[in-house]
Amino acid sequence: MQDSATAMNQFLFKAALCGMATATLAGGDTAHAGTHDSLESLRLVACAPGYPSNTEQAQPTMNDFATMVSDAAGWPKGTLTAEYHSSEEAGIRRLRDYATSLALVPLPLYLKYEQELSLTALAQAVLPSGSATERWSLVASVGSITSPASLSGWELLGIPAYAPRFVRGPALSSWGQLPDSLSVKFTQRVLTGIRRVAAGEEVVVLLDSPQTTALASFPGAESLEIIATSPPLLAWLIVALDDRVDESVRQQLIDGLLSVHESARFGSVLETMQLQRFEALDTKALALAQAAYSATR
Amino acid sequence: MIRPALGCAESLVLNHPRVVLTVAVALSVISIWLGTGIELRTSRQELVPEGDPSQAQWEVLRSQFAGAEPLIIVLDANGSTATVDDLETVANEVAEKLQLNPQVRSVFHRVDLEWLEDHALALAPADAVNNAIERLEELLVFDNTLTLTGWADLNERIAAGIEDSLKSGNSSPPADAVAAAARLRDLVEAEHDFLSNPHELVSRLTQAPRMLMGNEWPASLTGDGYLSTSDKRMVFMLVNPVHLDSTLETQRKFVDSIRGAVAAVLLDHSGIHYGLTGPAAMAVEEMNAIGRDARRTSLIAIFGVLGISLLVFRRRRHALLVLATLAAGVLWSIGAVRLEIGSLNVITTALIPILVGMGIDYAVHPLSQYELERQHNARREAVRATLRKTRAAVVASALTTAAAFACLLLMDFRGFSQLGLVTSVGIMLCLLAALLVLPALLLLQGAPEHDTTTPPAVVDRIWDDRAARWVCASPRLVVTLAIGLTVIAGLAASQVRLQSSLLELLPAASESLRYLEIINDESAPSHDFNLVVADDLEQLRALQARAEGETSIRRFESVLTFLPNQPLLSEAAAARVRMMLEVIKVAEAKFDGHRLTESLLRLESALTSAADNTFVTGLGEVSGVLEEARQLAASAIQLTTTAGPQQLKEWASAEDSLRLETLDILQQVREAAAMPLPTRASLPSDIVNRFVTEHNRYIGYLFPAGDIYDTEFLGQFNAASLRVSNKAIGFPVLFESHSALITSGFGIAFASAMVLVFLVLLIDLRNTRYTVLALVPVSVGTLWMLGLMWVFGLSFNFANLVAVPIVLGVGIDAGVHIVHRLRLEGADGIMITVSHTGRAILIASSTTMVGFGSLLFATHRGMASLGALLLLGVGACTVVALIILPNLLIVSGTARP
Repeated sequence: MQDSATAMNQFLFKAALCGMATATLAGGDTAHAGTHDSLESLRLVACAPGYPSNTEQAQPTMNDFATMVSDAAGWPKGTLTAEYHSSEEAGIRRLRDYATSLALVPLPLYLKYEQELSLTALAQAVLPSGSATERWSLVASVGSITSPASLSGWELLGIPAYAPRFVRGPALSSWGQLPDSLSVKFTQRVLTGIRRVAAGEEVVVLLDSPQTTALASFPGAESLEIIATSPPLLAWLIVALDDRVDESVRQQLIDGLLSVHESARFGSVLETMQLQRFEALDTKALALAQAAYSATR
Repeated sequence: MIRPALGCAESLVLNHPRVVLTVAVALSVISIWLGTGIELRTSRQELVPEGDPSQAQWEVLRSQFAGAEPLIIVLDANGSTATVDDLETVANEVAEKLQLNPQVRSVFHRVDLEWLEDHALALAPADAVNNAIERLEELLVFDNTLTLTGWADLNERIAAGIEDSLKSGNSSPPADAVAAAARLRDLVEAEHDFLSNPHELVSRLTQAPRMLMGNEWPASLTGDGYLSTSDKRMVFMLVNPVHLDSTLETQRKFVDSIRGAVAAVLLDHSGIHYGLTGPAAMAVEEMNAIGRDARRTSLIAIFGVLGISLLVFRRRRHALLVLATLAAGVLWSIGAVRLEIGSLNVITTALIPILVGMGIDYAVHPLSQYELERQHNARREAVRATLRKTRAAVVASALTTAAAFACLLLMDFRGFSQLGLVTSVGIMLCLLAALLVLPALLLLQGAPEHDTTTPPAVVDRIWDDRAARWVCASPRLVVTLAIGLTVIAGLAASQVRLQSSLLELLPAASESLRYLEIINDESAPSHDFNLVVADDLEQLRALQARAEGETSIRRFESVLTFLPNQPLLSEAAAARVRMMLEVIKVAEAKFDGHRLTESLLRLESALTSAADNTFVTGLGEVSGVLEEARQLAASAIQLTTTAGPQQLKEWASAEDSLRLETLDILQQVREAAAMPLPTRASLPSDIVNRFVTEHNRYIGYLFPAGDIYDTEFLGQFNAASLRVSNKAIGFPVLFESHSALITSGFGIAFASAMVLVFLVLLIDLRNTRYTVLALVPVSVGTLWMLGLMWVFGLSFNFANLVAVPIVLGVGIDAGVHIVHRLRLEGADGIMITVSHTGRAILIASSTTMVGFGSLLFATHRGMASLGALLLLGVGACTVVALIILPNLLIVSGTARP
């Protein structure tokens, strides 16, 4: 009876896992030291700050992903391991570990640590919508904000706010320059931010596309409005760290990633991860984002 | 042929007036004798075409199934201190009394709730039972038992479940997440409702077993199962007659006996009043209203016509002569009805008022002329001159009017075709009386032969001396204005509609109408439905399946509601219920306000996290529902943190009641789970009476999802009913069929009448221009009438449609008289025509308008609207005939000013 009961509980598990799977790529806790240019052991770290679930929950999916990529790249089984981290701190700590040579990260994280960790983008992920880009929306209470200057002294909340320069630059610079007095704060609980907006507090929230769509179901959505939308920005990137893998391995990985969706065997893995496939990097789009990021203080 | 006949008649009446009068009196006596043998047939069958298949089918069903048209008794406690218990007591006493009434087959006033509750599990869809079990399990099972205690415990269990969910998880997508979240929201809402109004939720729970069945009855039942309004201030009883034919006499007898029985019971129960509704009660009340209205309006008409006649004729005795002539014509017409048909129906009973209103015209015109002739001639010469100057016009107008009415014979709807026959014959007999009886009376009246001094009447002073001189003062202006008004009226006429609702015809204060509207608002027991019949349950199920696919059918009601749809599945669901009941426990728990608040805070926190987590991943629908639940929890916290000691006490008491009610429900469910499945043989008799015919065939009620008096919807509903069964029958089907017969038949009759009238006039006048001019008053007057209908917000209905041929008749008369007189006087005689013929038209129209206008005082809205239309129509035709036509004759060059 225990098994058949608690559908309520189960739905919450499912809810937590479903959309979150966009960030669910992880590997085991144990780091496997190995040579940088050998195929004996490669570790990929997926880091999605702000999204729910944890390393343990995501591990089965990460294992499947590692197997899938190894298979597609023509590597022996067990060559690649993968793990997932939902906090910036834990994720970056693992990236700094020399045993980690590859990563799957969102664009804000990439831009924030590109220089420090010598990140090189290899490929980009395509979302279930069929697009590799994301548009971010800034939400405020109706009529409260008329221009970026109106945000003076306000608070901006959102998941990408762990990279404030990304928010001020690539995401919102096309709308205008945000005032220095605007406080940009990371939050995982964006709905709580929305509640504060609806309650009339001096707060705005930056949402990704699925969250923006979900906003319509929020009781009180009629009191909210989208005041700015970002240009299309790359969403997820497969990156190599420093020079920890040589060029031939990188190319094998890229070739494998670009064809991985063709295998029906692994279709459900990508579906669980809320990804459609991988594709070749749009260097021009990345360069635009990098330029906007560099131009921002 | 007509001219020699008229010559003979003139000779006969001038030479032998006593003989003529003697024969007339003899004919009148014979007519009275014949009239006493006329049968009054009030059955609806008498109105429709003989052999009408729908009507025949309906009558067969009615003969086998008394429940097709039940009489509804409404016991009403409004305005008194009587309680629902008092109403139920009265209902029981009335039911007991009616069971002894030989005219009553059965009474249905109470749903046997105990039976229903005992069988609720078997009657509920197996899916619903299984779903209910699963919902209980998912909310309450944690250790192989279902332990029900109180809200605080429930909140903590749910919060703990959510917290656990957030810590762990599985990777499958949330297929039923929205539904699960909605159930959680509903539960929090129930708790919020409980805290807002503690005892309301408890009373709602008492309905729980019956609500499983999912039908609409619970809202329309008292706690003990009596049919009632939702406020429980009225109780309904459905009384099925033994054999109720559709004649008014039988219906009246039945209705009166029910009234007597209810009134007798209510003598011992002050404060409660009652009313009757349903087809039989409505028919009787409508006929009673018409009867009362007829008496009242007849008196007004008689005194009004008499008063006008006394004012408009120069000698008072002339008024009596006109009325005597009219009386002869009407009596002969009644005698003729016996020879033609032998009976009158509810429509042809309008014969006498129609003849009184129209037949008087044929005497008024000659008498008006006679009064003018007497200024210059002795009596005999005056009579001769009168006949020669007026008879052609009188005959032509009577012929055209009779022709217009005769065209009603083309209608299939028997009520109107018979009206066409008896009225057209009656008009010809009134004409005969005007040509023979009136001259004879004038010759034999007591006034001196050579007394030519006649004092002027009111009409002379108003019309002859003043108005008539001004009529033709500005012909072009008048004609131009008339054209403008006619164009406007024509545009407005297109907005006039046919109002098909029969309910709109009844008196506004009608008891049956008032209660019917309440019943329709309450949705059960609804009055309008089609019926389908099945020979066995299998066939009935097939009909139900077809009905469920039709959007215009709101619900299908049959004996199947009380039999398990899938016995094997129901049996399995009952077995599952029995298993679940073994692990359910209801535990005592002391109510603790502080703990309740703490549990709600924990629940709100858990819901906040759950909503946040689902929102961040884009599961908007789930997070939206969870957010609603969170808001309800927050609102509940507000209630608990601000509650005073009294409120806490009330919650504690209500939670105890809730626990007891839950125990009671569990006991009921236990009993229901142990009950054998109901079968056709085990059904209670009141259900059988409502759904099974005397020949053991099964009835299915098809209730409409809209207003059957909306023509478009009616068509959709009947088409859907006929798709369910090509033998579906009921008031909606009959109403649509008969309405179509009336409206299409009227269209054909109207068009035919116009053609026939034109031909008759063409033969009479032998000139197209004169014919067209003679038709101007009726054509323009009818358009003006339609325009005025729009101005006054009137529409056509099935009661006032008969106004159309009457207005045609009156309008034609006026035009014919004017044109005839002008031809007699010559092109220079327009002033004499206006003065002399106009005088007669004014008198005739005044009496007609007073006669028909009396109907405005009717309480029956159909009759009153008929009076309004006739007043407007006759008035408009008169104005056109007296003012517009003379000017048109001048403008067209037919007459010289």
